Amino acid sequence: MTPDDIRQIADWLAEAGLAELELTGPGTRLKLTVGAVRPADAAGPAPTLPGVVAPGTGLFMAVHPSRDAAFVSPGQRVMAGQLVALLQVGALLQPVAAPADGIVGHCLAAPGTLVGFGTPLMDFTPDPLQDRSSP
Amino acid sequence: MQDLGRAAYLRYGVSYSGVMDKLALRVGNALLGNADGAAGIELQAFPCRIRFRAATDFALTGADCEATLDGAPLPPWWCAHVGEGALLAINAPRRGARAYLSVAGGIDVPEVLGSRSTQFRGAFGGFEGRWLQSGDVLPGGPTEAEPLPGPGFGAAPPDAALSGDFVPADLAPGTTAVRVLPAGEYALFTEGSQQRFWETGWKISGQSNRAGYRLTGQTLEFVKRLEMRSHGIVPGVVQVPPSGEPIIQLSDAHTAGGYPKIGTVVEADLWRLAQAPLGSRLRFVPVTYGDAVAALREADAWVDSLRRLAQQYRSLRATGRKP
Repeated sequence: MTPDDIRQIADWLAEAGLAELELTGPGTRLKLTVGAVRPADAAGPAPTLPGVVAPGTGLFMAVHPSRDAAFVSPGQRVMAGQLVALLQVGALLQPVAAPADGIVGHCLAAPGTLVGFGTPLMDFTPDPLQDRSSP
Repeated sequence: MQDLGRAAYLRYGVSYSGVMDKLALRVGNALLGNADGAAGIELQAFPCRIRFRAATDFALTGADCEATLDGAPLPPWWCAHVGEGALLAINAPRRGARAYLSVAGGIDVPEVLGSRSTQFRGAFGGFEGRWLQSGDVLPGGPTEAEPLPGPGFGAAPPDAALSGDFVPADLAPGTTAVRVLPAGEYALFTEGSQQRFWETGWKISGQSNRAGYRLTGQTLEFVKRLEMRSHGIVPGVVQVPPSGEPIIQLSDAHTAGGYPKIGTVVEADLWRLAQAPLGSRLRFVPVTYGDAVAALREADAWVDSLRRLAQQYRSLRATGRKP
């Protein structure tokens, strides 16, 4: 893979409105994050604050198809791992979970739209208590 | 406890048994990576509480019961991992009538005549050949599936996923439309009765159960009084006894009967019957044989795609990669 290839893939990402792409092949691992400058240390943890982002590609759903009310409403306190939305992939409904204890805000993606891996889906304010306790 | 039933023994006079809603059981098994016909629990009395005595993956499908897992809401048509001691509370359905609980590996009771289904009339199969009671402890089967991390995943419910083109535009609220093929004695009913059969919103009476639904609303008349010998029947057959009010034969029906048959609810819509509560109404919609087969294929394809997508999702989660 040449730098030109990577530039081309980055352009495609931006065109498709995708936030992040991870590509793994024999002897190659590429991670592109649109609009972010990150140290080349691939092993290190991401220095970003936790956010409610799409865990894959699918249709964003804030409400279960059998229900009237959304999983969470703006201002609601949630716990790490709590189901806050869905990503529909064909007939399958994949979970979107809260990344940490905190408070969810408004939806950042329109329900029913196709979102890609890493697309921010909801405003999210992590619990300050948890920030202090993390290393 | 039920699986997909004893179809192979129907010819020997053994009732079908098996779940009323095959689609729901099959989807539960597909989400879990179980065999298509692994046994599960059919729930039709609510509320109900299930305590898990060992960690496992489970799926809850069928009726939308606003269930909770250790107090947290569980979406309908959902599959998740639970630890030892977890409590699943299943409330009266807000929609539908029967819920299905499946566990990884299926529920492991001995097969009798090729099935783990409970045969109530003969009191064999399932768990001690009887309805489950409070305090029963059921064994989970062996499974090689990796425990599912995170809050689990689910299936889009079939009423959203499957085509509803056949549903009449003027369908009254609280009414379930099902597709019906005219049966052997259809032509022996008066023209007025044939018309009433299709136009009536038939009420599912309180004297309905897994053996059959007794319908009320109108009476259907024959052109000429008819005596028939007993002949083989299958789930979905709509018979008209001398009272003139139809009966739909279902999972626990006798294998033979002598009442004339006006129609047969197509196999693809038996799950809709299973989810129609007592007191609600049914509308029969005529369908061709070709369309009936196409509807069955559509449902099968939906279950197959769920199985494939669930397997992909599970393997991606198990290897720690993002789906």
